[in-house]
Amino acid sequence: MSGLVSALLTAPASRVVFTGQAPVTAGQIRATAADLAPRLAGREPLFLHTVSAALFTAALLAAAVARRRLALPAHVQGGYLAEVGGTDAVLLDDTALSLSSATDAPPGSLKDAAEDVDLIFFTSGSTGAPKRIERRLSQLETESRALQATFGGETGPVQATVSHQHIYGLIYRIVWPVMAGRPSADIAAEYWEQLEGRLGQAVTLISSPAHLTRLPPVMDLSSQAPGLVFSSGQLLPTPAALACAAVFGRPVTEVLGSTETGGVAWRRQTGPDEPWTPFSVVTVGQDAAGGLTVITPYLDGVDPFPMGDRVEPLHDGRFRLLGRADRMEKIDGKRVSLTRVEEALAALPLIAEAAALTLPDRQGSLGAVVELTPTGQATLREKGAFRFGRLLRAALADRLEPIERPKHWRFVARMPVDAQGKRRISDLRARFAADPPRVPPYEVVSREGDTARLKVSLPADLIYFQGHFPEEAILPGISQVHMAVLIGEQTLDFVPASAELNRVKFKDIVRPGEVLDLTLTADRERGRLTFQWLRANGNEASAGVIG
Amino acid sequence: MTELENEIKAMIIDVLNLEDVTPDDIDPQEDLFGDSGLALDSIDALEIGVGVQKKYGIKINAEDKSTRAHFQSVRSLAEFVAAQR
Repeated sequence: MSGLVSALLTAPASRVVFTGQAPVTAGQIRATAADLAPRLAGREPLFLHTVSAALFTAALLAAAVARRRLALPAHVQGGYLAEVGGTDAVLLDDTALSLSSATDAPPGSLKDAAEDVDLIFFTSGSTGAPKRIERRLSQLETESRALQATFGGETGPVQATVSHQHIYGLIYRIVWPVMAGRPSADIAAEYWEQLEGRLGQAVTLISSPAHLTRLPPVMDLSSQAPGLVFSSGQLLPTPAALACAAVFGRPVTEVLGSTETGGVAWRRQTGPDEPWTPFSVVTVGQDAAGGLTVITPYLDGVDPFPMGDRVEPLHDGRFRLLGRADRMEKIDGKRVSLTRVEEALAALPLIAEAAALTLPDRQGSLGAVVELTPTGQATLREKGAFRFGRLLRAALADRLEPIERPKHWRFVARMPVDAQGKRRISDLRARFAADPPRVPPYEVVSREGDTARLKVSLPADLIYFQGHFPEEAILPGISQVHMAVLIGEQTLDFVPASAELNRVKFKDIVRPGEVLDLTLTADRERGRLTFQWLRANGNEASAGVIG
Repeated sequence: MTELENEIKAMIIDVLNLEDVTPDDIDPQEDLFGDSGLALDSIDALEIGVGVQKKYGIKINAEDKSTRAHFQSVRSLAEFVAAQR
C-alpha cells in the first residue's frame, strides 16, 4: 500500500473517498487542497480541528504541499486551546474551510507535496494536563500497513463514532481506509440512531467504549450489524464486550495502544481474561516490576516504552493484562493503589463502575465517583447518600485497608467521560467541588449598640449570582434581604421575628466583584431588622425593614 | 446529655467533613468504628480526638486502655466528656 499522500494524488478523480450527505471524491479532495495550500505557508504549527474527515484530509494534503506542521487539538474550547498553546495560533476549522466543487485540482498544482507531514497530538492525559506528542504521518502509515496485514480481508466501508482528532480515529477513519481505497464516513455519529441505515455486514465500525457500553435500547442493531467493530481508547469491560458480541453476532475487535506507542495488540473477548495478540511490528516485554513494555514503530528510540499495565506473558506470544500498575497515591503518608481501590469497588454487586481519586481540597483524602447497578440505586434510595457511603466502606472491609477505603462519595447516573470515553480527573474532581458560599466575606467597620456597619465583598462565585442571567450576572434583590438576615445573625446575634418585609426597595443593580456598605440595625423590642445596602458610588442598592 | 451528644455529633460531622448527614441521622449508641456503624478509621479517630481536646479542653491519654471504650459511640464519648469536665 502506498502512503496517504500518494494514495490521494494517484486515486482516480471520481473515486469516492468519503461518504455522507453527498459523496466526496478524490478529485474534490485534491481541488480543495490545491485551493488551500497557498494559504498555509508558515513555520509555526497550524492548528487543525474539523468535524468533517474530508476537510481534514484536504487540509492534511495541503499541509504536505506547504510543508507545514499540523497541531491536532482534541477540541477547541477556549481553556483547552490555551492549555495546548493554541491561543494565538491560526485555527483551521470547519468554518474556515470549504470543500471545492471542482472535479479535480489544476494539473501540477500539488506536485510539490511532501510524502510525510509532522503532526502534533495532545493526549487527554490521566493527570488532567494534556501532553504534547509529536508524530509523523509516515508512522501512522506503518501502523496502517500492519492493520491491513492483520485485518485487511475483513474490512469494508468505514462508519465511526469517534473523532479523527485523536491518533486512533485518524488512523482507522482516514489514513488506513484512504491507503486501502475504502470509503469512509465524513462525519462521525454522536448517537447510535444516526447510524440507522448506514451499517450492515459490509461495514467496518470504528467505535470506543463510550458507545459500546451504551448500546441503544430501542434501535435494532442485530439486523444491521457491522461486519467488523473496532474499539480503542480504554478497555472494553467484559460484560459490555459480551453484550456487544451478542448484538453484533461476533466479538468486538479491541485495540490496545496509546498516543505514545500507537497500536500495541488486539483481542476479541469471548470470555473473561481474554489474552491480547501483539501486532507483528510490535515487540512486547516486561520491566522489573512486571509491567508491560513495548517497542513499536512509533518510538524513535529503541528503549522499551513502559505502558503502565501489569502483564502476564503467555507461551504463545500473547499476554494478559492484570490491571494498571502505576496509579499509586500517597494518602495520609501511606501508598495506596487507586487501581486496587477501583477493582475492589467494581467487584461489589452494588457498583457498576468506579473511579477512585485523591481530593487536594480535602487534605488529599480518598474519594470515589461511583456508577451504581440497579440494586445499588435501590439501596441508595432506601438508605440515603450518607448511610450508603458508610455501607460501601464496610463492604470493602475484607479487601481493603481502612486507609484504602474512600471517604467521600459521589453517586452518578453515568461515569463522566470525555468524547474518547476516557475519564478526566478534572471532571471527576469537579464533582467534589465545594458548594458556593452563602454568606459572602465581610468585615465589621463599626458597631454601636445594635447598629453594625460592614463592608461586604460579593465574589463572582457567590451562590446568588449563579444562573441569574447566564450572560450577565446581577445580584437578585431578594438575596440582599437574605444576606442581611444571615450577616445580622452573625454580627448582631439577632434574627427578625418574622419574614415580613416593610418598605423594602430595590433601586440599583449590583454586579459580581463589587464591595458594598451594609448597615444593619436590630430593633430587638419589635423583632425587626433594618438594612441598607450602598454601592461604592454612593447609590442605594436596596433598603428596608424585615420582621 | 442529649444536648452534649448532639454537640459531639455536630463536631464529628464537622471535623470529618461528613456529607449528606445531620446530627439526627447518627444514633448515639451506634458503633463509630465497627463496620456495622459509621465505619470510621484510625485517622478519623485521631481527628475526633483532636476535636474533643480542642472543644472541651480534655486531655486524652492514648495509652489508656479505656480510651478505646470511650470512643466506641457518641454516647460513650459524651459520658467521657461529661465526666472529665
